[in-house]
Amino acid sequence: MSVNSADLSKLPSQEQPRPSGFLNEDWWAVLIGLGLLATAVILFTQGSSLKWLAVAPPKWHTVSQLATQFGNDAIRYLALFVLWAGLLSIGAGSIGIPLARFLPSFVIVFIISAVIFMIGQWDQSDHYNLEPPLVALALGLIVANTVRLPDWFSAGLRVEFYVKIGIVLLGATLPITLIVWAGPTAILQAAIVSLATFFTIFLVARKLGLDPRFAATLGAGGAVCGVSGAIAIAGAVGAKKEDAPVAISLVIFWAIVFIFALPLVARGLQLPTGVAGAWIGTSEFADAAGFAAAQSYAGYAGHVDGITGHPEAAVNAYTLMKVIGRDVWIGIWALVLSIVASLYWNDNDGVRGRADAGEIWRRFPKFVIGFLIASVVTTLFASGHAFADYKKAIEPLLVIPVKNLRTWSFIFCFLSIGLTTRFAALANATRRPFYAFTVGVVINVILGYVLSTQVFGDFWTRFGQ
Amino acid sequence: MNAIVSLIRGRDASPRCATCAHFDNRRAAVEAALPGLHSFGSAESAVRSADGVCSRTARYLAADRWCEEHRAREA
Repeated sequence: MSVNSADLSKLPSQEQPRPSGFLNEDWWAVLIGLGLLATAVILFTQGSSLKWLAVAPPKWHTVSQLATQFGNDAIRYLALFVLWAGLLSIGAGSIGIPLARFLPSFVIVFIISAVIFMIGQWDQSDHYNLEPPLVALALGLIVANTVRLPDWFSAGLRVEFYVKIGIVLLGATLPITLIVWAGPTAILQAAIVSLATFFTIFLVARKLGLDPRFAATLGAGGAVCGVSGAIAIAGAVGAKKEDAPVAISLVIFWAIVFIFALPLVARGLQLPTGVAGAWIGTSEFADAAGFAAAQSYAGYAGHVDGITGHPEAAVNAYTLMKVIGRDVWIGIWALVLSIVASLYWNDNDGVRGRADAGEIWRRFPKFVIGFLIASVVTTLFASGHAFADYKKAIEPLLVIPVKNLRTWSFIFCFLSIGLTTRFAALANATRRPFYAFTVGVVINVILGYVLSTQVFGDFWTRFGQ
Repeated sequence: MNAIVSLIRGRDASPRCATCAHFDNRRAAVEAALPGLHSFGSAESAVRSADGVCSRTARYLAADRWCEEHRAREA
């Protein structure tokens, strides 16, 4: 379907126009994530656990060991598939993805994800840098860019849906007290970098003669939340249709570079996990890309000499910086820039707008609400138990099963990133937007590094312990 | 100052892009117009709100915008 010059009144209308504020993907991620958590809590209070269902491959040394383990747990993997397929199908169906396409695609995603999860559990995987996020991403990129995948397969590759469910489940393993303690520092650091990055990209783009709406779209892609930031601001300021894809292409290019580069550089510098997570959270562009990078770095802790801190700290610091420090402010960016666009960047095509504070809520990434609720629920639940009880019962029977489900969701996501990133399909970025965005990238990375390691270095090191 | 007051008050009576035949915010249309969106983003994401593509102006617009060229979508 071409949208270039279509008379939309004559287009086939199997899919209805999207209303504002409906039950979107974010809300489904909240429902599924909190539903899983509620089930885990209820089972725990009944003396049972989600542990049987939330299967994860154990560490293995030889292929025969792996085969034996898989044989013993085959029925658990099947049950887990049924659970994920059921929940995700409901969510996907509700947002208009045909089940007949989603389900077959998800079968393949689940099987490959299981293989990747198992590779990551090989006791030599650290030695060969076979962290599941990197394997999933690399495999997906190779396949997507060398093989022509059928159209129906894309239905199950829901990068954002999977990462949002993973983030909600992540909330269940991150105490709200930690969020309250570290949140203000994350917000301050992220605000400094976001503003510096946005204005760098915007001003360089303007200096190079780009349209201000395009400059704002590029700036938001680099400063706020990657592709999501770029499309939110493109809509808010009314960017030209051909400009938003260029911003998306640049975000994707640099996000993929940083998935591999940031963990490797941080590893070379032997940054503590909390510090590396904060840096990745400040300098990565897309949520899913950053989780891949942070999760990879978490795999180094305890396995690579000189890297200190708890493995979870890399993902936790990343989440605070990216989600709380950057993502939640997208509505305010959109409101402010829509006002500026209406006042100063009017074109001659007669389109008009109205400043509306409701923009902040409409564009608010609702999955963050699920993330915070999950954190509050598990914190309150755990606070009623002694530490010994927590380690003996709550952690193995409640927290670890939820963590396993989170890992599955993230692997679905990382694989989907690779499989949906077809470089040939992306819009070409000409030199001027590339230069403007890249100058912002350089400022972003350097400033993020200085803030994470020097200005707030002690804080993020303590956070990781 | 008048421009700001007018901006905040808006023109509530004007029909919005959301109901215009030039405007399409369906997932398939938006994904087709924004290649790469499916990779690190989503047409179903809350941050997209109800934005869509206007075939008259060739712009990606919020659904609550309006213009004089509004043409009601057929049922």
